[in-house]
Amino acid sequence: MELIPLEHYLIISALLFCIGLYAVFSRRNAILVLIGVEFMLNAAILNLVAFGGHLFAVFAIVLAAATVAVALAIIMNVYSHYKTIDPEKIKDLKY
Amino acid sequence: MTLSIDTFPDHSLTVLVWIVLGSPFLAFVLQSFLGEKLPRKGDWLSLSCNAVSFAAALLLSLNVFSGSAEQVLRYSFTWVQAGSLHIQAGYYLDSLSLIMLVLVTFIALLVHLYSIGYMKGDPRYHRYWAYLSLFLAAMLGVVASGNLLVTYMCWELVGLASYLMIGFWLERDKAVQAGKKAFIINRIGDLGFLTGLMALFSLTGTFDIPALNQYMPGEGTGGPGWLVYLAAGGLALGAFAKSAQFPLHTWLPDAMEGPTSISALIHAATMVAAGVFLLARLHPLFPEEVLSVIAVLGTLTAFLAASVALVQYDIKKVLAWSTISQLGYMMLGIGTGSYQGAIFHLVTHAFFKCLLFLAAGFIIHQMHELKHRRGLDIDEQDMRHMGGLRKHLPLTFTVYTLGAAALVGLPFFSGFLSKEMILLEAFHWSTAKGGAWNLVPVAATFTALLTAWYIGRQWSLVFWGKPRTGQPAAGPGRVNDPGEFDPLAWPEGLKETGWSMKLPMILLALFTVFAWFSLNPFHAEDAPLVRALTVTAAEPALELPDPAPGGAARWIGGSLLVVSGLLVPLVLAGSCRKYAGPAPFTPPARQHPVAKFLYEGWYIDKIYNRIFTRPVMKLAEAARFSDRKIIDGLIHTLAGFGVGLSKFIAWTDKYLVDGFFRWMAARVRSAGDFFRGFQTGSVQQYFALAMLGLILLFLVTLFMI
Repeated sequence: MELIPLEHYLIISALLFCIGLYAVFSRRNAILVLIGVEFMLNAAILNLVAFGGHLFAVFAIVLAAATVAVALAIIMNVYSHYKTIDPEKIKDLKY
Repeated sequence: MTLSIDTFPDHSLTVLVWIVLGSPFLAFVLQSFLGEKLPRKGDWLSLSCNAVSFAAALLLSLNVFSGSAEQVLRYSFTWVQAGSLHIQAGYYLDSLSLIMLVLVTFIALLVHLYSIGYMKGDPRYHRYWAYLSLFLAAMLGVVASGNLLVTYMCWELVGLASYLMIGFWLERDKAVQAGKKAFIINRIGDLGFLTGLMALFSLTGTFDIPALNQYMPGEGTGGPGWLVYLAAGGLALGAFAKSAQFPLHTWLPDAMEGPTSISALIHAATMVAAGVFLLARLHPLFPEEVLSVIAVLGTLTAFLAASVALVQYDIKKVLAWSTISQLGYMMLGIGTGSYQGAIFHLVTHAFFKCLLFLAAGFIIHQMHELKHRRGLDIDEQDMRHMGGLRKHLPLTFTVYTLGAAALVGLPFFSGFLSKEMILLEAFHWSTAKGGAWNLVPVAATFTALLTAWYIGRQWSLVFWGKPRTGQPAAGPGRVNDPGEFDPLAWPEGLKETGWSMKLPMILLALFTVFAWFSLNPFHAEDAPLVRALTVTAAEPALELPDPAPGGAARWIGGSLLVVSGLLVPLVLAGSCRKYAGPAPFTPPARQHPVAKFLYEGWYIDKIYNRIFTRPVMKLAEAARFSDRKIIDGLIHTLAGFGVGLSKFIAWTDKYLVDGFFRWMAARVRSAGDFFRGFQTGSVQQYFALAMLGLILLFLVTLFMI
């Protein structure tokens, strides 16, 4: 099989990263923000695959899953406290 | 300087002198501090010190007079020594001083005794004795001092004591005012005394009395000749104020507001005599013109005072004016060169006037009792409420009669001797000067008739006739209408009690007769008193006119005898008849203008009020106004400036200084506000910014490398 050129990996991961980045700071739903974070994470994992091999990617994917579980737990607690999951509405740290 | 002769080599006489001078002073000091706490408030302390002083004075006199040579006791110590100024202080006792010492201590002793009864129950009893001792100490200082400065000091102290005593009952406004008046008028005299003092010093360079007395014009430290006149005039002014002579006599009648025992001591017998004493003491210094003025003024005063006494209704005021009148006689004696006569009259006058005052005090005391027991609303000193008291106060009546006889100068009494001496000398003097000067002794003789009238009037009003107690007087001179007369009976049990008051009166009454002074009831030339005074004169012995040779002198002496022996009793009888008639006497409804003129003291008080008192009060008001409005106003304005300035500074501080810092703080705050704007609380924003930063950093590193 012929190797996929490195640039293709990088461009895809860059694109994915930007999509994820956009999602993080423009969505009004915390879960969608989480999805954006996942996107960025997956973009990073793709980079990892491109440079480092499949082994580290598997580790990263597992970590991603754990992270999502914790994040969802956090979002649930946030909802039970603030009754909303719109990040724009949770401004307790505002001056 | 005069030699000092001490007959006792162990200086016991010196000790005696210091005892005489020191005991009253000691009494004053102790009484002032401890008086209130002592048993009986310390009256025994004052009394015993006085008695000790008297005993010592007697001993001294006996020792000194037992010798035949002229004796003078002297002692002095250096008081001030500053460069060429050398002032000695100490005592100088010749016969004059010794006679005065004995007299003053004796009279003071009797008044002390009297006061124990008279002032009983007074709330300020303990202070009375302190003042009395102060007075006595100061008076003895005046008499015994050998240095004119010390005399001046004690002179002023005497004036102070007088002021304190007059205003003793300080709740009474009249007493307070009278005290002030006395002190102020005396101050005018003191000014004269001080001027005289300074003139004498610049003339002679010394204050020492015997040295001054030996001063001859041309000696000493020099100075213009008129300084002697200034000195004599100043000293005379001082004496006139102290001895209540015209024009400075107005304080003495008002001084009657004080307790009667004080009036007896100070204003009859001793303090007012200080003026006469001073003139006698320094008589060699007086030029003849000044002496003539003194004689004339003295006679004028005698006449004035006697005329005023004719119409007074207050028992003490009559005696006060009488004192002024008799002092005028003494001044006449001084002025005619017969200082021995003046001092002789001073001595006899001290006895009988003190007696009259003490008796008047006793009468007032009894009237006061009567007033309380009957609940009357009368002035206990007003003679219009008295009358017929001889039945109720027999002893007082007796002693009063003796005192009055001495005052009037009836033959066989002491007053006759001294008054006759003065008048004889006055005629001697005026015939030598001739012309209009003869009016002076004639006026003095006429005044003696006035004296008889006023004292006879007083004697009758008080002791004779029917009693008038119980009737309110309704205006000057008016007693009541005959129809309303209803005398109250003398209360049972109001008798003449109190030996402390009666004994001094009896003792004084004894001295009103001639025998103590001269064996010849009609002529005093051989009187030991006069001899003693004459012997110490710095000038040749006084020539007493002999009744034997010299026709004019004999004629004058004889006519004086006629006056005293016949006219005076006639006048007395006349006044008694008028005033002791059926009670009540009804004077005219309105006071005759002459009577009013006399009653008001020839309007002198009113004149002084208009000329002096009112302008001074106006000046005081102006000063007060200026002080309050102008000076205080100025200060308030200045204070206002200060306050305004402080307000400005406060504004500056608040708005400029603080403002700057607040502006600074506002800048900091706005900077802080700006920076905390970054804390939006929006997580997504934080993230976006972080990413932005990261990208920037990446770009920078990209282009840096």
